Amino acid sequence: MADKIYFEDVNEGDEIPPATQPGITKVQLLQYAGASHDYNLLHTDDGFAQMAGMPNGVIAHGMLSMGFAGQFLAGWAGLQNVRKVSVRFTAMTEPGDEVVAAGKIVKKYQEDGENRVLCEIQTTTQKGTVTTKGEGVVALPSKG
Amino acid sequence: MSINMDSVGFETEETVHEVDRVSIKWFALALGEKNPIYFDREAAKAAGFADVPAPPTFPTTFRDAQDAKLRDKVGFDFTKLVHGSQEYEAPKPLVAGDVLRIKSRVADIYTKEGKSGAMIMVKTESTGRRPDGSVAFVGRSTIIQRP
Repeated sequence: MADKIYFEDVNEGDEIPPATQPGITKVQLLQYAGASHDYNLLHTDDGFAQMAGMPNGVIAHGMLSMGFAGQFLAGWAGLQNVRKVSVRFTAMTEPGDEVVAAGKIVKKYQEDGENRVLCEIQTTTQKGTVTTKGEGVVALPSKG
Repeated sequence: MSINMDSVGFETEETVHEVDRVSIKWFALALGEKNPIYFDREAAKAAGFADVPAPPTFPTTFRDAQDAKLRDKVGFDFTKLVHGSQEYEAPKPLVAGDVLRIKSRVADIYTKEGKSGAMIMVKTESTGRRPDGSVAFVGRSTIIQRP
């Protein structure tokens, strides 16, 4: 994990260091289906996915990309500091895609007695397709 | 089947879920996590957690028969659904051993004109509470039924 980040260290407009995932595998989609209890065959059965109109077969769970977005925030700010992750699903992700989670700081503010940071976040594949877009909120400790 | 617009306000019965280490482990592995806090209680404790913590999107695993009831009530056509958006908010991470009382409700349903016709937007909200009644997490979803 990265060094501890303090509220005073970050500024509005700062980029958060991106996090790249290795290519998504079909085994990972089976694992995610089992771990999340999302058994929609669109994510695990090529024949089913093709019948549902996906030319290349299965597509990844949108929630897997959101999981990467959450992991990205936790990796940067520390899991204990993550308060909110919110995304819109904007495009499909396929096996083999390498997902990059990135973001920047939009606002620093106080809420519920904490120093909070609102971040813009998105996940993008190696093809440049933006697959989720949204925001995250983290609470950062103060050097006080 | 068509969407039952009157299902706005429908609320599921409360169900109880216990957050456990094994479920966290498999969920974290599926996300490609390597951080030992998700797999090792001692590492989690050294990082300040009471037990192994769950990743921020872990509440997605709390699916049960009540969710199926909510979907039946709304009357979704499963061949036309798209997950539009998702949000999870929590005052602090969930950790193994947490016992949560979860309820979901249909928060809103409205139509939106899309390129190929009217899309029906269904907003749902799930709230997980701790035994003392405090909110442990809130999940908000938008499910879109395409024309």
